[in-house]
Amino acid sequence: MTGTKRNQITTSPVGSPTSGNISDSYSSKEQDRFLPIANVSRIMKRALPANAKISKEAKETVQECVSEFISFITGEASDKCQREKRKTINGDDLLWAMTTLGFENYVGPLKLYLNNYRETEGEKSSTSMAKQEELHSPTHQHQTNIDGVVEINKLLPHSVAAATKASDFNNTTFSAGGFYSVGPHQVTAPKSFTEMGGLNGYRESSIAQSALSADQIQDASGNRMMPPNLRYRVEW
Amino acid sequence: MENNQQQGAQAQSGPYPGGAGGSAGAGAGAGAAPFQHLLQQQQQQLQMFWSYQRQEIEHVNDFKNHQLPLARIKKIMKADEDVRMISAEAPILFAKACELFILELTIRSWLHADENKRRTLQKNDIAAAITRTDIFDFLVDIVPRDEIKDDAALVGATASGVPYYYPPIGQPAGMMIGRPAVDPATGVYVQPPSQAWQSVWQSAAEDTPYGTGAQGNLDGQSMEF
Repeated sequence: MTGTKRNQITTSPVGSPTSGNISDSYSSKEQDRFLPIANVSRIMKRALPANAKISKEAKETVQECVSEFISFITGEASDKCQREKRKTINGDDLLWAMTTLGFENYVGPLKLYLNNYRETEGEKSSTSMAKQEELHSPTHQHQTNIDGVVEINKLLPHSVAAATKASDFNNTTFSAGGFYSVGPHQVTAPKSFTEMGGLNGYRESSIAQSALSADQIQDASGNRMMPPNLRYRVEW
Repeated sequence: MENNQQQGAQAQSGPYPGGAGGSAGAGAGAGAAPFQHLLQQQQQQLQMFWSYQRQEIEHVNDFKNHQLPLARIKKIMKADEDVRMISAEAPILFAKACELFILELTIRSWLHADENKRRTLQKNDIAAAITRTDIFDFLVDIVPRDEIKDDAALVGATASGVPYYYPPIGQPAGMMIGRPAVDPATGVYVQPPSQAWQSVWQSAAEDTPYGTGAQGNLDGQSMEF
């Protein structure tokens, strides 16, 4: 499948060296740098009305965006593994990286997905993962449990620790999210709402497996109640 | 799949009529701009999307059939020379993560196409979604500047009331293209519209939100730099 015609020369604002590596390493196999356009196109159609059409340029652009997304998250997870002197990137590292880079909305559904995978398909993988996590950090074993409260409690320290280690952009994002008194910082303030909503939603669904109504109410009320307070602080 | 989506939508529609009613009442009283309804609709769509994803994933039990090839994902991950070993679960998790990413990016892009009354998703719709969404900042360089300029022209030509927001981080061209007239809308866009906000907007003079919005933006910039 033919990908984009022009070579991909990208430099992420947050500083992702993987883009350059992609171009250098696989310039001769351009199609290998992207996911198949048919798969990407099929997923895009699920997000659109039945009578919507997608231009080929749009499909190719999303192809590039997905590869950039993978490199972006992988780079952050890889940095974390190096700091902790581990060699293998696992699912929890990816979830941590997504949280650090602002994709909090993704972590709730993906935690469920990862737990389902470890319970059903990955019995052997879970065993080896448990052993590995015991070796490197005993407390991490809690992350393999379904107990959402424990996971959320552990998630916050990671975020705080990440704020001190991540780049300036990430620092700004997390510090703004952590302190609502930074009123003028409009750009990142809404993220904290999303994050809180997401975490609350996950906790509700974890504590009561079928509490979808509670989850929805929590999300709705969170979105409705929080903005006015912040709006007041921002404006006055 | 579509039936499930509709069921999800129906389940979601329960709590919203009250909110929509309240918003409509406030809108009628204040004579609010029509784009507030548009923004509320967009927020609702994204909320429904995330709730639906959470519900759907709870019922997943087949991890061998993926929407995206795991070998290709692994190859992209391995393109980074610093990446040494990857556990078996990492590409599987990424397959689902990329699915969510494609869905969110496509939904946000479609919102822009819909605003311009088009039924075909174009590259500049994706460019608009990238510039409007903070977490997509890392994609800014993938979309050429001329796409963004064309997009700004389109917005200027079709609907001046539609919010068009450029993040201040590393976006000098974006700042040049951005227009002060959109600042109040931007302020509204960054935060979901709510009854309290609308009541504040009612009581305040029309110029006040613009001034305060601009001030907020300036402060935001100073914080960033």
